[in-house]
Amino acid sequence: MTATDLQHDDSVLEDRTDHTGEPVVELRNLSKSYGEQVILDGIDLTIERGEFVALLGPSGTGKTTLLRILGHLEDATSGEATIAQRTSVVFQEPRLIQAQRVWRNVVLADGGGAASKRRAFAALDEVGLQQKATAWPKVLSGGEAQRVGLARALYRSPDLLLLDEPFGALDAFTRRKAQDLVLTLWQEHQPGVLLVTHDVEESLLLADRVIVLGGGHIRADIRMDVPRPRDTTSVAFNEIKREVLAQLGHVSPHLSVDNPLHRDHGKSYGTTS
Amino acid sequence: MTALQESPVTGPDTLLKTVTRHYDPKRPSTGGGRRQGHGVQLALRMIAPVGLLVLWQLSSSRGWVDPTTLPGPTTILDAYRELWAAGDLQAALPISLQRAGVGLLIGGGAGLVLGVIAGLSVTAERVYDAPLQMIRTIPFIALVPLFVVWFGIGETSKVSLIIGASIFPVYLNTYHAIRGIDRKLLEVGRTFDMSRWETIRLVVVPLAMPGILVGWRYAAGTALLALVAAEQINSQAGIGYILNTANQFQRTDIILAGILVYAVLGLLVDGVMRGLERVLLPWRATHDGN
Repeated sequence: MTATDLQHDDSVLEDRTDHTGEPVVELRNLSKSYGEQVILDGIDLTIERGEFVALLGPSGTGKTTLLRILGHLEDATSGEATIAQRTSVVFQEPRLIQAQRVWRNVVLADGGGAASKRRAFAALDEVGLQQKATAWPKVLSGGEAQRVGLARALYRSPDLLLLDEPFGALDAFTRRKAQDLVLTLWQEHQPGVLLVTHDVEESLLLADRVIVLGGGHIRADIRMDVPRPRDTTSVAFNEIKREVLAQLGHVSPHLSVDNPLHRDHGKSYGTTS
Repeated sequence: MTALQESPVTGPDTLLKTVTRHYDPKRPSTGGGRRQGHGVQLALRMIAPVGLLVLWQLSSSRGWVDPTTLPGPTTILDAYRELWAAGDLQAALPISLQRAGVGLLIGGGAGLVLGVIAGLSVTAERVYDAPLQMIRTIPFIALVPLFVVWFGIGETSKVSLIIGASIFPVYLNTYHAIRGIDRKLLEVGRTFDMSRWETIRLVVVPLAMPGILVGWRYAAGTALLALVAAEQINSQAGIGYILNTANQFQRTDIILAGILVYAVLGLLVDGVMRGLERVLLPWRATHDGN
């Protein structure tokens, strides 16, 4: 990012759509275990720039572990991982630093100069929160805080955007708006996206590919070719939904089809790590 | 007091018991003391102290208490005038303040550095946390005779005592404030490629600041306490010197005047620390800081 790039407001946030198609994640035979317990067992996965991938699976199947490895927050035990250097994470909770103003939370360590401030304001504008830029995080609602988390991720013009159940704590209406926002931002900036979620419908609504994780393996890698915006009531949508649910059912035979994830061996919904 | 008029339900044939509330915007709503004006609040707060002062003055002017045991407020005011005219108070205050200030800065500073390092490094914590915790349990006033032997009866022993008393509140609170920071927030630093120093500057210190300030506030209190104890050691200057001299001449009025100076110092220090908290922790205020 040079100073001349900042001459035009539109180009404040870098856009590199021309790189679409390059792999931002390449995992070869990747495994992760804690002592005796094997979490991930020989994962092969490629995600391209501009590709929106959703990762599904019951609690405890290593979805979050995989995301944390991709986010450089954890090391794998064996295998090979090539991951884009510019990677941003949006966590399940907003994880804002209460002692810093909103725009500072977006900038973080990238200096406090006028250029980074403008970039932060531009990123906040994209998530519709420019008017809250100088506020303290404590005045934000849950949905707003999560959008700041999104702006913080976007600020870095990531090649790979990792979303760890970012809508889990939001109410249904706010969640739909946040999903639309993520879709818009993805279409605009074209990073590779990996969305970890519990919600089958959410994954099918947003992603190009739905990957089902189970028993440490990739159980299914389903391509979602239905054009956006997707109609959750359409026949094509529900056909794929049935397939994904069947794959999830294969992981655990006790799942009922209408509401498969709520019967996940009594495990709590939010604890995946 | 209340804006509500609750109408009990009287219909004998009603099975469902209900209460109807009528809200009138013209009448003040409930909420007790919260909705009282500042003037009323202040007046209520003043009742007890002013009442005590009046009672005190009455008891001495009516001769209920022996004036050598407890001289009245006016006598103490006269004592201040006397001390001021002789130049004793002006000479003593800066000396006492300097002792407390220097001791607090050195002790609190040491506690801050030790606390930050122990908070960030498990190794450092293992090296010196246990010995510090052991020393902490010793009441510092018990060290007075030892410090006199080590450092004599001059300034060194007095300031050392204040240093020793101010280290621990800052150390403990800083250490706990840093350890109490959510690990998930430290992970944010790792995710977004912050260096260790940047994480400390942007995440750790701002978030630990409330705890650190609590430590300094406690330390300021104990520094003052240590000052009082230290100034009992053969003082040649300071508020303690005034107290000791007054003691020899049985001047209860001057003793009380000296004690009240300590009290006012305590209030001032607390006020300064509260002010610092407001300045340094704007993000904790109820309203948006804009």
